[in-house]
Amino acid sequence: MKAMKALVVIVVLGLSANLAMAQTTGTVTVSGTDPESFSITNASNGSLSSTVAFGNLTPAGTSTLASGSVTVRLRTNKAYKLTAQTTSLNFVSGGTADNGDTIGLSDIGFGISSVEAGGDGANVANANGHQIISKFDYDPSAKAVTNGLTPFVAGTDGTLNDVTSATQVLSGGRISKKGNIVTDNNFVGVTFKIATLPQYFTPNSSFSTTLTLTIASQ
Amino acid sequence: MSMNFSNWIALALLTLGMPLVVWAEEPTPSITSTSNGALTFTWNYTVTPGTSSTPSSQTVQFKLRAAAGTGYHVMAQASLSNSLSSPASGGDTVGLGDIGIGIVSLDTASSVLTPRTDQITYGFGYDPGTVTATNGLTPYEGAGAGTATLQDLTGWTKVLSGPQIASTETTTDNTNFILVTMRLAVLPQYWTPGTYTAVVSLQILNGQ
Repeated sequence: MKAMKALVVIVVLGLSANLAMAQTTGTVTVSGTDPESFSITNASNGSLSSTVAFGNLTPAGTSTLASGSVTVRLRTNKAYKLTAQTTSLNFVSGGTADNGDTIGLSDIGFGISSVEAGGDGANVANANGHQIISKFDYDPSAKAVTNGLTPFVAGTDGTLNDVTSATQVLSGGRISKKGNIVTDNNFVGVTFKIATLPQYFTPNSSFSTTLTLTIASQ
Repeated sequence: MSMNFSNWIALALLTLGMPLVVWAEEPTPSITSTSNGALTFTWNYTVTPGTSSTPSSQTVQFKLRAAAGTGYHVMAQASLSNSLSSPASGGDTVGLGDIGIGIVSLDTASSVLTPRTDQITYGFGYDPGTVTATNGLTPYEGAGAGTATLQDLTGWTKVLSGPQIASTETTTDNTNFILVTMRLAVLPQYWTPGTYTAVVSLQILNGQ
């Protein structure tokens, strides 16, 4: 026992039983996807559902075309293409043609009169370089009329007859730097013009067609 | 008071009259999940831009235990990587500065020492999920402006500190911890398409 008492015992005791198991670190991971995103809205950032009403197309002695316009906002985070497709004309209470002509899709000019960066353009990635397909790159309401007849030249001046199937009318690079659908400077505004010359077409109480615009990746 | 194996050994040696030198390790604090396991939390989120001015958010909770008399502090560090599926083409890509981070609340269990003087580092004491965006853009301005983002954590940064939490730090004890509620948030935007991963590493250490 004396020998034992003389023995200096140094015992190192870890008094923390949890030492080896202590969890002193952790990780929080945020992961996900930025999907390809494309949007087309009206000028108020809402769903696009616009009506161009020509009213009564009464023939007159002028060369003025009845017209209307629609401005839409496009936003994308990569290169895009815009297509248009229209339905056949729907007539209500159409009269008898009796060897005359009835207004058709080729009598209604369709073009893009401007593509402009929205707001101050500070969050537009590419304000320039948007390509309008040539036949649609014009203002149909400004077309000169000759002899009181439809002024649109097939193959040269775009009409609704050129978009009876989904047809590309515009394309370009990435539009939006960042921001979302309410951001006031991350879009391009595209103004479409639609026009027709009132003529002695077969009478009807109304006619209509629906034009659908679709934006997608190039 | 219960005695563990080490205590019994010490008592036996003293009974025999043997000199005993005891070196006591400083208590080791811990950071765990709410179920007292390792903290590994993942928020997987698809960032589709919309019309909302309210960021999308995710809450993560974890427990802190610290029995050292010197108290504790929590350090954090963040990193972000992107894998782009399309070129940036003059646009922006989501970054650390677009992800807000804040500590929403600290809740104490029943055996936690009171009164408490825990300190959330300035800029991290807010709820990033309630910050209203203006013009559809990231609403956070950084910790210096009171709205911290992961950009403020590019180096190890103290986000929380305080005095000793409880007299024990046993992770099976459900009364000796502080429950931290942290929130992450992001406002979806037209960022460059691709995938992203941001990792926030947390560490608890002794001392304030």
